[in-house]
This record gives sequence, C-alpha cells and structure tokens, in this order.
Amino acid sequence: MYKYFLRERLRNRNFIFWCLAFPLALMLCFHFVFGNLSTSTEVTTLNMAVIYEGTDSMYNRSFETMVDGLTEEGSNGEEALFKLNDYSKAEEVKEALINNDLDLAFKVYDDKVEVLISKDYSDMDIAVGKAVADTFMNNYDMMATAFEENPQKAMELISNLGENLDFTAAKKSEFAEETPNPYIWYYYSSFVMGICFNAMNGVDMVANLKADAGYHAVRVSVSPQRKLRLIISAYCAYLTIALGINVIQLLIMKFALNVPLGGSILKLVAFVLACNLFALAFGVVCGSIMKGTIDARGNKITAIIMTSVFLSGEMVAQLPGMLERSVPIINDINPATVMNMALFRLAYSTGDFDFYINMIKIVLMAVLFITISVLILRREKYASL
Amino acid sequence: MHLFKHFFKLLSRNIKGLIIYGIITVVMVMMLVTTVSNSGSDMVLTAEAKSYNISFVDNDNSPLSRGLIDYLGVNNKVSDYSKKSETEISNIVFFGMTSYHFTIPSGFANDVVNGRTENGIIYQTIDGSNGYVSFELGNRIDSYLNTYRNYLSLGLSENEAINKTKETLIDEAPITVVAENEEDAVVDSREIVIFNVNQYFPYLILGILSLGVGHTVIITNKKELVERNTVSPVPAYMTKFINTVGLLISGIICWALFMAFDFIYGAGTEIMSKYGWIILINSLLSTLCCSAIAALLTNYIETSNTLSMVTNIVGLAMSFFCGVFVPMRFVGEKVLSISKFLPFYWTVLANNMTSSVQSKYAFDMNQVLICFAVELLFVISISTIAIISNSKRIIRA
Repeated sequence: MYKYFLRERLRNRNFIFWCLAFPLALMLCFHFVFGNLSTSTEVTTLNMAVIYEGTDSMYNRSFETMVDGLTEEGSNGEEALFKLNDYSKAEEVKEALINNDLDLAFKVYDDKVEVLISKDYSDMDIAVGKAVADTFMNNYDMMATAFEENPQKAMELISNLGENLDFTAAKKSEFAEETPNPYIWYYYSSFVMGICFNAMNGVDMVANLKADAGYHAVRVSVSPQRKLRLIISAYCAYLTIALGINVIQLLIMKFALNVPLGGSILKLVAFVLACNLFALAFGVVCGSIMKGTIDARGNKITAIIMTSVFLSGEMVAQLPGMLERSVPIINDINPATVMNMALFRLAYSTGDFDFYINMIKIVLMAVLFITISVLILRREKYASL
Repeated sequence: MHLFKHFFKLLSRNIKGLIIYGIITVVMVMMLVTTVSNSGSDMVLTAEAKSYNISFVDNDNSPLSRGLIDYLGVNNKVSDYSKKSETEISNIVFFGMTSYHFTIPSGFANDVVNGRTENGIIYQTIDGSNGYVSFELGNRIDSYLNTYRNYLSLGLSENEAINKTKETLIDEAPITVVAENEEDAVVDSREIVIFNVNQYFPYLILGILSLGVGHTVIITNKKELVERNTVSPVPAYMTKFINTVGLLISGIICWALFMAFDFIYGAGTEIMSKYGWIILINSLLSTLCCSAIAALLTNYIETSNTLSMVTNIVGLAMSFFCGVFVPMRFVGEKVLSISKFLPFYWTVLANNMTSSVQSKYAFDMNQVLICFAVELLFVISISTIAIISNSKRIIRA
C-alpha cells in the first residue's frame, strides 16, 4: 500500500507544481529582485554647498565655522560628513541639485537655515541635513537666550556645546546578524506556503480512504487490509514525498539563494516533519468534515490556506507586524505565521526559546489533527458501498 | 449573437475566478488607501512631512522622560508598548511597524543631570545602529537631553528647563526639494494610491482575464461542446472568434472600471490632470496585450488547473522582473535588460514617468511614445501568434 500511495502521488502533476515548483519559482523571483536591494544605509560623505543670503552677519559666520568643522576628516581617520562645493550663485546651486551633482545644500538667511535637497534625495540626505541645520539653529537660539538671561554663564555654555553627550545605545541584537534582512521573510513564507499546500494531499487521502468520497476509496475499503495500516501507509507515503520536496527546496535555498537556515540540522528536520504532519492531518480533517465533491472540498481548503498564508505575510511582509501591534492573537493561532516565525527564529535567533514556543504550538496542532483524522478515517462505517 | 450571449452566460456560471480576482483587487486598493492615509509616514509624501512610528517603554516616568516623549510626539506617531512582551516588540520592530523603539531605564533623569551615559536609552530599529532612522532620532534625543542639561547649567529649574528645551527644539529647519518644476517636488497622498494601482494594473488584468475569464474559454474548448458546435450551422472559426471577442470585451469592461476609479478617486490631482491621457492609453494597451496573452494561453491549455499554474508563473514572473511589485529602480540592470523583452516592462516604464517623484523616472514624451509603440507591437505579435495557432487547431479539428 505504501508503494501504491507513493506512485499515485508522484503521478499527480498538480501536487508537484504547487508544493515544489511554485514556491521555488517565487523564491527565484524574490532572489532576482530583492538580491539587488540593500538594507544598509550608512552615513557617507555628502556633496554639499551653502548659499548665504543677506548681510555678512554673525549668524552666517557661525554657520560657516560649523560647516568647516564638518568638512574635515576626524582625528581617527573617519570620513568627513560633507564635501563642500563652491558655487558663486544660488541658481548654480539649484542647477547642481537638479542635475544631482549635489546631494544637498544649506540656504542661510534671516537667522534661519533651510535644507535644499535634490529630487532624488535619499532618506540619509534628509536625516543628515536636518540634523546639522536643527543643531545649529537650536544651539544658536540657546546661546542667544544665555547671553540675554545669564551672560556670565554663557561663556561656560559655549565650552559645554562642544561636548555633547551620547545618551542612546543600540540594544544588543538577539539575532545572529545585527539587522536581519526584512526581505528574507518572503523566502520563508514561500517555503511554508509549499508545506501548507500539503493539506491538498490530505484531501486526496480522504478521496483514497473514505469510501463515500471516491471510487478509489470504495475499492480500498473492501480490501482485506486493516484500516489503520492503510492510514499509516498513506501518511508515510505522502510524508515521504513532502519531505523529499522540502529537502530539494531547502538545498536550493541554502546553496543557490543564500537564505539563512540556522546551524542546527536536527531542529530543521524536526520543524519540517512537524509542519508537514500538521498540514497533512489538517487537510484530512477538513476534507472529511466538508461537504461536496473532492474538487469542491479542495477549493475550500485552498481558500483557507491562502488566507492563512496571506495573513502570514506572503504578499505583504509587514502584515504580521500590523497584526502583532493590534490583534496579536491572530499571529498566535494562524498556522502559517507560527511556522514562519519558528523558521525565522531558528535561522536568526541566538536563543532557542521562541523557536521552541512556536514548535510546541505546531506539534500540539499536529497531534490534535492527526488524532482526529485517524479517528474519522478508521471508525467510519457504511451501510452500503 | 447567440454564441456571444452564450459566452457571457457561461461566464456568469463560472464567476468564481472573477470574484476571487475582484476581491484581490479591492483588498489591494483598500490596503493601499489605508496604508497611505494612516502612514506615520515612513512613506514620504514630501520631504517635510517625514515622520516616524516610534514606540517606547518608560521605566523612569520622570518629568524629563515624559517631556522627551512629548517632544518626540510633536512630529511623530508615538505609542506606549509598556504592556507588550520583549518578543512582541522584537517582532513589531522586525516587521517595520515601529521605526524606532526605545526603553528609558529607571533613574534615567538623575543620570542625565549628572552626565552619566552608561545607563542610557536602549533603542531597537530595523535598519541597525548605522541607519538613517537611528541617526536622525538618536540625534533628536541627544539634542533634547543635552539642551536640557545646558539650560539646567544656566540656572533654570527642572520644569523650566524642560519647557525651554521643547520651545527651543520645536523650531526646525525647513526642507525644500529642488526640482525643475515645482509641482514635481510634491506628491498628494491620493497620487500615491493612483500611481500604485496603475503599477499593479498589468498583473491584476492578466489574472482577471486569464484566470477569471479564461476558464470560460476553456469550457467552450471541451470536447463535448466542440463536437456539438461542429454539427451546428455555425462556422468553426466563429466559436474561437467569439471567445476572443468575449475576452476582449471583458478586458475593456475591467479597464473602464479601473479608469473610473482613477478619474473619480484622483479627481483634481496632478497625476490625473496632467498625465491622465497617458494612463488611459497605457492601461488600454496593457489590457489589449493581456487579452492577447490570455487568448494565446487558452488556445493551448485544456484544463483549469494547468491554466492556473501557467498564469500564476507568467503573471508573477513578469511582475517581479518588470518592476510591478518592486520599484523599477531597485531591479538589477541585468534583470531589466531581460525584462525589456516582456510587455509589462513597457507598461510599468510609461507609468513610472507619470509620477517622477515616486518613481525617480523623469517624464520624457519621446520615451512614453516609444513605450506605447512597443506595447502595440506586443499586442500585434501576440495576437498574430494566437490567431495562427487558433486556425491551425481549427484545421486539425
């Protein structure tokens, strides 16, 4: 019987496509597109110019002094923040910004600093430009207040301004890399989607074992084989193929697409096994409970799987985050999200706690559905066949 | 006319595929509208409107820490996550739902006054400690705390220093985007929705035509129906012709619905008033092209499952390679050089030029006309292949 179920599955083109080829095709698309995206946004030297408008005021001279400081290399050989470009007219600076010859410019007028950026600005250009202009404006404002209210202390303040203290520190990352690539979620989600499609196998198992669901099952039911043995054979055969498919996918992910999968093969095997068992048993239970033809039952389960996969972030990776913020219970009970989270934690986390929490959920769900499925398939009695 | 009516009767009986794609379209548009209107906004509308979703856990709960949170909340959306677990916070940060999460430790106010930095604010961001979010918000927090210390050193009381600090820092430098045309530097939130709907249009219309309407064409290709039609007084080519016309009309109806949305929702926006006609022609050509692709696929494919497989692969692959799902400027040069041989590339390129602020592709009339010409060539060539393959199948039958 094991061989029979194995052959029957391998001849099913639909199953091979949706579980093996479709997730791999998606991953390849992600690889070609996201492979080019960089998540690194480090500060680099920016091309900059300054436009001074109005008279040669104290304000303008102070800004000039500050800019000079920022165009010099650091004492430790750090890159300067700005490379200052000389332009004689404001129109030339604007022209240079339009042509992307400059990253940003400062316009100093009426005791105010305006940041000019090119249309193709990066977020870092704005962050740096705004930080510099704001710091200067605020410090100047504070100095003015100091000279007005307490001139004696003002000189002390000038020396303090040079020693700005840094009160913030990045949290020590719980991940192996400081910042996990957010696009990696799409790969895990596609892999988990392939596993979830195994629920369709569960429906086919019902068609093969439940006598009122298909003519194959009628033949199998009247055979002298014990029902439990048939169920175990079917489970083993379907699981063998599913695991084979997952091994192919994981090898491609690891070696061709460079997707991190963590260092523990044992945990990965346990994860894949538990997920496939759950998906298969879920398909059997739903296929047994639902009404209609086998195709109709399959369509209903596809709708459930796609909803679960969608909520786990297959199409919009931020969706689990939105749910975590507002309705975290959905993430806790959505099977696709739980599987994704377990795989993500397995691949990235330095600790095992979150991985095991998610694994316990998957194993519990798998055990529950397997028990129900065996009870349904084994205990069914028919008045006539 | 009888066959024509019959086609739409069959379509109404197999409406499931159309409904699924209809739901996908509506969900996509609603998510876009919601994201844009609720955005904090990490989605930049103008450079000046840049703000962040910030979350915090305040273990100090001192006037200073409350003042800091109050100050950060002026231009940003600030949320208190003190009731969330570490894992939940870590997940929310990973998914980018909060740009910057920080925890203020107990006794922080005293440490700031005494200049001790060891027990400082601990932050988490998705872009790491070197990213622009860490840079900008870290700088704002440090500025706030240093300014507060400076005011204290001037002899101001704690409350006076907090108020004065906020007063000083609230005055921010204006940011101006320099562009050739002033309107190129600003983008309305509705324009973001319109632009993105048009960007997704080729993927959606191909799915609607091939999976929604294509199933009906496949049904008419069934052996029993073909045999019944063969003995009827209707010429063999007529059934195929009606199928193609049915596909085309369905496509044009969908196109009209999309355009109605664009013109009603985007009424008065720069993108519709200035480039509305480009969007109209571009999406019409894309509809014709997708109709031709759907006709070609349904010629060769005999089962709904196979049609589903092929359409998904063709639609998703073209969408990924041609910049539908990911902005074209982020797609690698090599991938783009291949995608020039695909029709979606030219549709997306023309659409990109309708909003250069969002796409970073400058408007170029000649380039737009080239896009239209190439799209038209795709329509003609794919239709020709579909007609030839169709006539061969009729002859074989």
